Amino acid sequence: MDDQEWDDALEACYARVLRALIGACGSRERAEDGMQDALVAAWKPGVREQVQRPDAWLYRVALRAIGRARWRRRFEVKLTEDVRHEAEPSLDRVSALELLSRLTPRQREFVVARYFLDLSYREIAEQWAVSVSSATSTVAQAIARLRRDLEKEDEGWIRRSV
Amino acid sequence: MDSEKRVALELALENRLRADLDALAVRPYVYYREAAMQRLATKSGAVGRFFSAARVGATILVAAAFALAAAFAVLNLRGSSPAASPTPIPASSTTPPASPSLTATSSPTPLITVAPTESATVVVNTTRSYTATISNLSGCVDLAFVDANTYPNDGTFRSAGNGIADLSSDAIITSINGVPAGATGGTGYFSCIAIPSDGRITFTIRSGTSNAHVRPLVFYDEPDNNRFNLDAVNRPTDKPFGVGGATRFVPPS
Repeated sequence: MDDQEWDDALEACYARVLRALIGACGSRERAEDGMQDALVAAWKPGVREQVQRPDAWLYRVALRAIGRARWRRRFEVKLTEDVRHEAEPSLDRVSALELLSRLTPRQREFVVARYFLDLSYREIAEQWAVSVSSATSTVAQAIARLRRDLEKEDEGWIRRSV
Repeated sequence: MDSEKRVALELALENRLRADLDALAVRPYVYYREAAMQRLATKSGAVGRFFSAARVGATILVAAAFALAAAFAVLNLRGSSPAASPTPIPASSTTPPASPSLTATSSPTPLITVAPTESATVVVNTTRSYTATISNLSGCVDLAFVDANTYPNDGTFRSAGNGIADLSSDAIITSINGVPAGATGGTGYFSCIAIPSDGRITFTIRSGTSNAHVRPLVFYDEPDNNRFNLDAVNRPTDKPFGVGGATRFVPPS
């Protein structure tokens, strides 16, 4: 893959990955910092030959960079981004970032990878160097946790959102 | 039925993620690319390499200084209690008639208390107020519930043996410091509630579950994983923490 092809591949997926990062870490600023770190890493020699899915690779590398910087920012207010739905008042009650905020950081990362970036459990397992069953169970625990919360708060939410 | 619900939730979650995250505006790719290229150019130059090496060196020095300070602190603490007993020995028993001011006072101990501590019974869907008083601590705390029926009240917490306390979802927190708790009407777990300057967080709880029996738990989530972590014998490692009195929610008579 030459420079132009690699650049095109990164450009094709960067927006989606950046949005996934915002979802996973809850902060645009941190997501943008992580994206820059990942792009710096992407242009290092020998990297592109090892990458099979640029979006999955960018997401994982950026999250690692965000994690390294997290200790400096642990007292920041979490989840500064928010999205409101004006067209559907009934859905206004639970935004994606509010949902994700109920999960652990690892669960957020996996849920976004699975349901937003469409990574398979095998791809998640490869990127995070965990077993497929571990990736599956982490997502399952996240779903169970959301279900417990949402069923208590509003039984109609799931029905309305589908 | 169970799998149907799960599939429905997965679909809902997928739709919601796509709708919300795709709605976020992002800057053009060229902005990030150029920033990355500038950093690469800086790093690859001789000056960049020098600063990189200097930064690594400085990081190692700072880390070494912290390690030394921690080692001194640990040694000092151990030195103040004979035989390095894990149970703190009262200062009066170590140096009997000397002066009380010799008690080790390195830094104020962080503390969380939750009042009231008395048990109470309320009707379902009514609320009970608690006040958490947090001292010598900055940042934020998490609010949760434990099942009062199974709470040992001996310094340990019930766990499935996975190093995480079993939290109860039978009640929800409906307001924090007078502010309704979120658009959803409240949840059973609140992560990272900022500690006010006076250290007092007042919150109300409610349950629609008949005979729900809960105790509120306020704790400093360190490491920040939205779990109440326990050690091998189910003692909390997330410290400090405070547990309020039990509340039982009964049906209206």
